Amino acid sequence: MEDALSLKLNALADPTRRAILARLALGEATVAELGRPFAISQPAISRHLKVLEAAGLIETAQAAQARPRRLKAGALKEPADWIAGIASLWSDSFDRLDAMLAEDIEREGE
Amino acid sequence: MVPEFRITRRFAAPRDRVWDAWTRPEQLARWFGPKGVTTTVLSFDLRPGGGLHARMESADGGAMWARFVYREVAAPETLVWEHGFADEAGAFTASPFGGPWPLRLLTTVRFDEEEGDATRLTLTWVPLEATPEEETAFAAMMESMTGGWSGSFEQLDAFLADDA
Repeated sequence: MEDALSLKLNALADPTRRAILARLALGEATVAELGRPFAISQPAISRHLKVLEAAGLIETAQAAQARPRRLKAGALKEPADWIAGIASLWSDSFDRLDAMLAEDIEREGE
Repeated sequence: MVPEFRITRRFAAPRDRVWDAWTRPEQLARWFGPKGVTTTVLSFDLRPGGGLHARMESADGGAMWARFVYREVAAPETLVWEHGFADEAGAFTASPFGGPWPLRLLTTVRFDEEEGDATRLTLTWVPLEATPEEETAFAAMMESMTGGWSGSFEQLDAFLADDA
């Protein structure tokens, strides 16, 4: 069993699924509407939606006949925080290295 | 194909000095590590097959460890090592940040001279013997940086949370 973060990262790793999320950010949409911009079949779109839903990133509105999909609020925070944390490991270190080098050169100049 | 992580930065210092900052433990300890930690180098041996073991302590007293195993030491141009989080004894261990992160990353740092007594540093990370799940996480992180979608999703999420 994969953990929730792994499922989300895996879902986000695909460009079609990211495009679907970007579309859903504008508002809920049906499977047919979501498939329109892509040159792929409806079953293929449905498979992508299944991955996104299993990862907890989107949900299906049960009330309406057309069962539109929508984004789940708060679901992107965990992967976004995780990615930002990893991505800043080196940039934070480099900021400190930059400051250290500048400090040492200044000290020598005195 | 897993993309490589690449970060480059120009430092306003001569190459020999930047090299020293990476290869002298007392200097490395002054800058290496995630934000807010104090790094202490516990062991250091700058030779292929040798390594580094460092303790990184955060303000709240929490500690984590890093381990390097050097593969290539070509002063002052190239430094290559296997990089990972470690336990107190120095064995490679899973990332304390959670998530499916590769245990070891092949890290290559190139030091190139630039005009004005400056140094261009280029660091790359490639997962070593990672599981498909770890490679996917690594690729997602990479794409988020190059595509810039991590920041935009964060904003989107904040927007949706406000709305809810």
